[in-house]
Amino acid sequence: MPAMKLSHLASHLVLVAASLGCMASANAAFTGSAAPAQWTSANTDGGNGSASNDGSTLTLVSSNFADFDAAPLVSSTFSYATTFAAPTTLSFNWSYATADDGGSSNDRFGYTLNGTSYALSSDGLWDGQSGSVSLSLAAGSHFGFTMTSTDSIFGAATATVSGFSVSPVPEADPLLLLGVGLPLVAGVSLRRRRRAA
Amino acid sequence: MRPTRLAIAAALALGTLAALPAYAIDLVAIGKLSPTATDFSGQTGLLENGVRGDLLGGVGSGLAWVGGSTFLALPDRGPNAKAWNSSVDDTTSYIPRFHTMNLVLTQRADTSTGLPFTLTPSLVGTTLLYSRTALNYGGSVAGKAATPAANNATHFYLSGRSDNFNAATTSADQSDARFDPEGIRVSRSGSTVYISDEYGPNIYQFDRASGGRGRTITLPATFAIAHKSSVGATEIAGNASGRVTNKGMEGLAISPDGKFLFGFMQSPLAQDGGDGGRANRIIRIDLATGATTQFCYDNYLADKAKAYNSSELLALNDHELLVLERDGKGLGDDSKADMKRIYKIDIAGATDVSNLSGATALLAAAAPKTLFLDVYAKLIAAGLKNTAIPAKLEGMTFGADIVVNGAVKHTLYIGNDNDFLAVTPNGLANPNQWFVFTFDASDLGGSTFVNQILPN
Repeated sequence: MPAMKLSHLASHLVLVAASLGCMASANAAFTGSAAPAQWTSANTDGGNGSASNDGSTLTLVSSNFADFDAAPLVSSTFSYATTFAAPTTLSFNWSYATADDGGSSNDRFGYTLNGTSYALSSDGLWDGQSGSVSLSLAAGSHFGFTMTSTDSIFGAATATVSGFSVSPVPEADPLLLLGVGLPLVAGVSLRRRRRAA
Repeated sequence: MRPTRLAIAAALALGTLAALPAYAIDLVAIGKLSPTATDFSGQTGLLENGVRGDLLGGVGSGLAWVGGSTFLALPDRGPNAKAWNSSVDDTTSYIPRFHTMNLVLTQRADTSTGLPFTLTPSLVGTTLLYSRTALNYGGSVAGKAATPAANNATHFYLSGRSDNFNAATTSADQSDARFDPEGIRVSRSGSTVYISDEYGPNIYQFDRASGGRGRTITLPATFAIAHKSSVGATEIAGNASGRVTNKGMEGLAISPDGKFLFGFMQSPLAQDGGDGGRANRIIRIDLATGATTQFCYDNYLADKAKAYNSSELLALNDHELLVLERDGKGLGDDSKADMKRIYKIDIAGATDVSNLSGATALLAAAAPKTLFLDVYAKLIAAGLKNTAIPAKLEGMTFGADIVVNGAVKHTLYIGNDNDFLAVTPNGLANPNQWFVFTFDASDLGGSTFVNQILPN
């Protein structure tokens, strides 16, 4: 029984520490480890997708060529990505609108996490779309927003990311554990000794 | 029962509702362009049959309003009325194109027509249609190569010549270079156009600025034929299913919001009765999802005791469509026009016939139609002889509203396909022509008119 109680105490300590850590270092918008300078833009297959990030709002525009002869006419993906060195809780709100003559199926918004793609926008729609996402990322996670265009013609889609927040998930602080935990352990030992006496 | 209802009930009982008189729609202008004029394509060389490659003809096969006085006019596959080789049905390497036209409607009496408005057409530009990926062309016929001389590494031009196909595939093969454009509509952005193809049938989406083909809207396989031939009669004889040669997707409409296309066959599919049959298919395509729904249009006219071919389709709103039906008589082949009419149908609540086949099954589900405009009667009333009414009225679109005697009126433009013939066999002048009609809410029999929403 004493061993189980000690285990419970340790868990609480970690949660408290985690909460304290969140309160102390949460990044509102694109700051700290998520600052605009930490992200990299890239296009595959000749696309011309783009991103603009003013630190609070990220806007992605899908690949689209006004000059028909310059368009890839094949699927291309624009990505706006970064790597989080530490464990991170990430959340954001998104909205999506398309000006493509064929609707949302031709320019898909989503994200990638460590090489796996996840869709956010839905196919086959004309109207605007929106949603919220919250993710827990392990240390070293590679995360990116993506816009995939089927052919880069006939109108672009725009995705807006706002309310972006990253919160490092701290590991238990050994000193905090020692400072708070040892007196409690000592108290348990004292109670055991008194019951034994 | 009031007299009007009694009359309608009687008409329904007699099955002649479709022949009821149309509303008070007025013909207000006729505009013409010389049939010997040339376009801006730069295709100044002679085609296989000796006709110039830039002859401005056939421009009424399709017609679409872009805004203001700007319209897009669509010729079909080119001049094939002049014989040169029967193995390709006298079709030529004419490069399909669309023309940007200025059709200026002025409230000034036209002494040449006796009508209250003057329509002054002029050509603004010509856009040739091409693919950036390679296409299937035929071989040499009578020493005439099938591959367009204008082709280069990134521009593979479409062609009117009937031997430009891959014999190993069905007629739905979008890599086949042969292309017979028959219907054109502007997309919701205004920067692209949808054009229906009579050969496939397919519907292609082209960049309006360049003429480059960007996307293909593939139709159900049941619309295609399995055995292609450069000779129409051979194709018809060799296929029991699919579109009838030269009776393919003649009509194309777009919903006012630009989210749905409606493709219309000129005659029933072979499995539904073929040419001369009654059960035409209209296919609605959801452009966002690709989902399709099919409806049946009965093109039989009781008062004529005949089924006619259908030439064009135009959306009156998101669920009602205007159908241009006509005979093939009149100016062009020196015969006498007899039937040119526009009917209205409502597909709201109509049966989806996608999984039905055969005339009997389809006709049982046909959407009812009512007469919207007797074009023939209006033209005769305006003083045209039946030999002067163009045989092939094939394109129609709404235009900008105008004011007539202080009242706002909607406009309906109808164009003709003169088959690139400057004069008829009997020597009659055979110009490119457009006819403008006006109407208002009182002419719609309770329907609501919603013109296409176009960008400024």
